[in-house]
Amino acid sequence: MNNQNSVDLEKLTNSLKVVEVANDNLNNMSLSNIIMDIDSDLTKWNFEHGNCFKDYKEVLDSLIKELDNLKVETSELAKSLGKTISNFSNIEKNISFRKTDLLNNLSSAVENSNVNKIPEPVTETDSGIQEQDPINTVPVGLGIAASGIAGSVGAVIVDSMMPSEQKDVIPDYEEPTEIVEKVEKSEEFDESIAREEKFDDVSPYHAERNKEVIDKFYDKEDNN
Amino acid sequence: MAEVDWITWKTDPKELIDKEKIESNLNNKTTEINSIMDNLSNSLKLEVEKGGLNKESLHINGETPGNEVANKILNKIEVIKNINTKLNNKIMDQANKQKQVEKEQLITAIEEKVIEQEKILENTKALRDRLTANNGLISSNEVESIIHTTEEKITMLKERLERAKAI
Repeated sequence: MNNQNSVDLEKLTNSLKVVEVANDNLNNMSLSNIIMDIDSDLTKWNFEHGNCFKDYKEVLDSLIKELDNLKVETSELAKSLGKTISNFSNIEKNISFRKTDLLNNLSSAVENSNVNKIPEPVTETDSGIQEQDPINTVPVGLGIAASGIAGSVGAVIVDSMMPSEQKDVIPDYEEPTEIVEKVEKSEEFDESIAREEKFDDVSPYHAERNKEVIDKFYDKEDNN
Repeated sequence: MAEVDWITWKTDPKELIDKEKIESNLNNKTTEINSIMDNLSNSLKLEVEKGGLNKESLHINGETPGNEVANKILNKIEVIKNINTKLNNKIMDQANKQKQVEKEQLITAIEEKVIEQEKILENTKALRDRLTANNGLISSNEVESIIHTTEEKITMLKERLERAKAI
């Protein structure tokens, strides 16, 4: 068995048009009219010549039956082609959309990051010491990102194989509970610090009062 | 004894079964059907050979559904054309047999009519002989007229018989 899969959407679309035209031609009235004419002629000739034509009805019936089957099969072929084209077009659109999305994310990530240059290696040549082109870290990042895209595209293909009700349902990202709790706690801590820090910001009246209390505590009045 | 009306009807060549007309009629219908079938077949064959209905255009896990259905349709078109040819052959075969039957019936009927008229002639001549002998009631001119008319009828019937044999 040959497992090399291939889908040529452009050719399939052209074939769909051909099959639809064929289907229309089969379903128009001319074929049915021709068969009805043959039946009518044979009935007339039989009337004039003492029922000399026998068993033709069976042949005509089988002709009509085969034509009906042909119409059904052509119609089914058109429907199947249409469905196949639609499904594969959706998959292509999906892949293209996600590729664009991932590439945009990649671009913005690269723009926001600091591009560190690795020290330039120095090589010796016949003409003397020559510097090599600086090695940029961006291509390395791009390579990693490209691997990510490839993985995502694979995920899209797998996603397209999923049952329809599960398709296109991407679960919302949820922060792990422990991390959330830690963050909340740390925020509380920061607020308490902030509150303590704000003790210094007191009104002049209270500052005066505080000063008195502090002075009493150190017996400053006595000293005075 | 053959009916005179029947002979008159059958001696008109247009009233006999016209197998050439039937053949032409059926051929026209076959041409129309084959034209529709051939158009369908040719366009599908092109798609099967080079287009989206060939094996490579839709090949999933060893299956080529489009190609398979298209080939099935192409076979069905050939089946329909064959049925139509079979119908034509059957009708023409029966038309040939019917023509032969009608020709034989016509010859037999005319031959019987000739015999009938010859008997009338013979009887009338016998009557003339008796009238001559008895100086009878009807004139000899009237008898001569009957004999002349009957002889003419026999001559015409024999001409028809020759024409019927030539059909």
